[in-house]
Amino acid sequence: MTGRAALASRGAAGQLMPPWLWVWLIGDLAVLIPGQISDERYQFAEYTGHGDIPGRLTAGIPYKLLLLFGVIAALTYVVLAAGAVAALFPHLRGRWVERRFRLARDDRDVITEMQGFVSQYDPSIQLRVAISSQQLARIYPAGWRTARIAVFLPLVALWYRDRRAAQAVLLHEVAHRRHGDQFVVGLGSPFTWLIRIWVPAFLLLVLAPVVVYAALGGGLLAQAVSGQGALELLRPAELLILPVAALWLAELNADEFTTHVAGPDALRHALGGSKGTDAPIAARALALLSHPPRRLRLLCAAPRPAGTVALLAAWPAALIAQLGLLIAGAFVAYLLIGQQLPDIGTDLLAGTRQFLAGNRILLITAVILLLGWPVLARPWDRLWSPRRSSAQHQLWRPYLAAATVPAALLAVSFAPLPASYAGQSPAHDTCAQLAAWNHSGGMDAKLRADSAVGPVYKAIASPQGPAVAARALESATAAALRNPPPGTARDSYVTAMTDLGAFARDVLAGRTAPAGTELANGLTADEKTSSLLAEQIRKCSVPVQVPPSAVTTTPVPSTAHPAPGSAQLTTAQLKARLLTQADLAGYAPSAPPNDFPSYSDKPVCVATLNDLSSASAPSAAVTQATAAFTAGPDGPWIEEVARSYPGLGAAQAFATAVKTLAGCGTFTLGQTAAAGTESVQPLGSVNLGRQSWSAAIATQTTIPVTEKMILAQEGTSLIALQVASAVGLPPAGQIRAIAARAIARLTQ
Amino acid sequence: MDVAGVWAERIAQRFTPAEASFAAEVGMAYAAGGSRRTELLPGHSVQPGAFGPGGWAELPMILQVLAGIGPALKAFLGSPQVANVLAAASLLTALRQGRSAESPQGPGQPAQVQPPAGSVDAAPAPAGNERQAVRQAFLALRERLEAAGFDQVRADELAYGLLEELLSDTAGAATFLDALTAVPDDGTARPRKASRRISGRRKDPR
Repeated sequence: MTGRAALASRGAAGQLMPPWLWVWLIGDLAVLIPGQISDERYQFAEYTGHGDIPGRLTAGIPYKLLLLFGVIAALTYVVLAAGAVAALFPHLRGRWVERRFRLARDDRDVITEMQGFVSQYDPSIQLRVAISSQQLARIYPAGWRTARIAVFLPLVALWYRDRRAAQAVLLHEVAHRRHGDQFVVGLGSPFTWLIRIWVPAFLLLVLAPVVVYAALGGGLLAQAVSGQGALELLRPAELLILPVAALWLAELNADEFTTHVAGPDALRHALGGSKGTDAPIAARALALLSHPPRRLRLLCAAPRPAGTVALLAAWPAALIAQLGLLIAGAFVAYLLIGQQLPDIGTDLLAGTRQFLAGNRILLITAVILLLGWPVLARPWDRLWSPRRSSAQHQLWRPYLAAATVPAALLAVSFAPLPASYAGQSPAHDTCAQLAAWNHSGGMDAKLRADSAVGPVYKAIASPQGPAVAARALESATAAALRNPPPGTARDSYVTAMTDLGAFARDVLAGRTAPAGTELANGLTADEKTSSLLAEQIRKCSVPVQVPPSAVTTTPVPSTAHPAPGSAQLTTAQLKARLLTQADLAGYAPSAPPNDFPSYSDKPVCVATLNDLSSASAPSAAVTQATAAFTAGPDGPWIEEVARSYPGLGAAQAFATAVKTLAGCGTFTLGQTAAAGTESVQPLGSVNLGRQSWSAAIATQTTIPVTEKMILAQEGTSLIALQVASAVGLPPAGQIRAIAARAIARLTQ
Repeated sequence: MDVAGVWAERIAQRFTPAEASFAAEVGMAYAAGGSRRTELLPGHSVQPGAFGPGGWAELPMILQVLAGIGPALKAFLGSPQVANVLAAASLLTALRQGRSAESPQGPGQPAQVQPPAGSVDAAPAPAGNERQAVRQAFLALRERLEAAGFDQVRADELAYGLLEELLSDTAGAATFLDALTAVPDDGTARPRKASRRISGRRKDPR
């Protein structure tokens, strides 16, 4: 004889499971809620600008939404705490239940018979009768050591029609009482009532903010909020797993007692009364918060050794479900804030370790309770019922097997998993410094300096002269240099502001030649700074916008010469105006590539790129010339394709190419089948020619190749400049300078 | 005990003896209306995973049906066709004999009543109008019982028996129906077609 069958044969009063409801209740009141109050206070301080995040940032809508999510999530703790506290006043609950359901003592024969049956198992329980057909029978506390069963009219009818089923119902309630469950479950339980009304209320309260959030759309601000928002929204579900699991197990434990005394058929008949209920789906779903599904109860009524072990291990295993939900939520949150996959892995492992370490007390309690329950069951039973228990000690083996679950989790909590989060190492400090730098006006200073470059350039050729604008730039760069950003962007930032300041001083001094060099160097460094800052902000999820670099804000004219006329250039003219080796120091002429991919899941994208790479000849009406250079076998490679169109053909070709490439995203490519992927990330205008557009292109095949493409249209001509490399691209400013040179030659 | 309690007990003793213990209280609670009436009828507050009340309590549902059709029944009971008690009794006998003659079921199975379409040999032939009035009352009551969730056989049995009880004391029955309908439903106490489980559990051990 093994498993439950063996357990069931041991005396009439054995309780199969430890009192998980009490474990959760004490843990909730003593550990979880105080800890969460502290955590919520910290978060509220953060979201309201009283923490590390400056108030200037938290004043926006995203942080208001986060605050709202936080408040709603915190209400879950309030609900759980209220339910737990209410369980501590059984006298009040008893009086309220008897008034609410009009319960009264009754001495009719049928009630006397029921009372006699119940007294066999617990003489301290008294019956009260309600003239109501809403339920069958429910236990409720009348004090710390007294309990009553409310008997409803259907049970009276059942008593005559199916005595064993009616007895099973009463035994189930007696079992709750002898397990000490009646304080938390049963008739008029504030705990289950609060849980059942809170879940729909939470969904309602969350729905409106989420709609508002969705309306906010993407962007850095929304991105920063979305990660934390996902965590906040999932928190109530995580919090409910353990209490709901404990409630289910309390019911299944009472069923086990019933099955043991009255047999599984009696329990099945009793449960048959709830078959085919026509309650709405929502009501049925909410009922699952306090009672297991009827099918599960019927399944568990069949004695199976493996089922016994599974039931005993279910509550510790609920921790695994809670951890799983936590990991899923965190994974989504990390993806939403754009965290890299390796960092996500590190953070999830660190989170797992932190979760398990934080639940060590719970796990140790579970191990002790499971191992000790064969002995503890009898005194626990006697604690609630004055009747002397006849239960013998339970078998050890199922409890020993079940204890391996919390023991294993406990062992994992000591495993050498990452102890710190990827974002909490030195990078975390950098993020805090970045937020502080932004808060102190660092980003604004950069924006002022960037904005001051364009007016200087414009004013050089103006009658008023550039002095005023140059002084403004000098002042702006000096201010910016007094507050450089932290982290990787610091060096390029200092270089950019120094060079732009030098440019301003050269302009003031009338040193034209060095001014051009300083400007080019300054713009290059500034573009790099903007790129690094954007990356850093994305990683840190700091809700600030990176202003465009001076490169894109400075309206540098495409050429000092007049724009070309509307005449289409001949092939010879185009060829003569291509970049030469003299324009590209360190590069040598090379043959243009001719092994372009022909297969893709987005053929139009590959065709457009191939076309811009001189892979295909343009129509007869279009003239074309190409040039290619290389700095080494692995690049960088430079390819220039210059075309001249009749009429407005250049503008149309530009628009068509940009429209196509901007929507490409990532796609496969190969010669006859997919051999890799290519992605096009639009970068916008680079302020060259009449109109320009650029993109970062990455090709992932055997050898990854990165590329920057610049398309520029001027008059009847269109230039496609592609700089690619397998070993690293030249600085963005240098690429733009090459493109500017190509435009200049084209329009000479 | 008021008239609703007396009649509820009378109905319970004949049709739902397992509920006779509290039948008087049920009748009075139903007549009181409001939440006391609402609580007599199975509601959505039942937790699906918990022990449900099932269809064990039939008496409240019978009272609900009688209240629903109360005005029509009162009109029927006060009509000239049934003013003569002897005539009403003969009509019921015709109904009963019609059921027995056409029923293939065994003695333990309640048979479905086939309302007499023509003359019934064993009973005095009532006038056409009287027969029609009884038939209509029977059909209306049976339809209501089926709508409340009773299966066809049980509804048939109840409709016949209830009419018999009401016709045996038409004055008292009218007072009883008045008591049931004195306080209107508050909207929450409505017939529910859900109690399909009511079928098949009719034989009380008492």
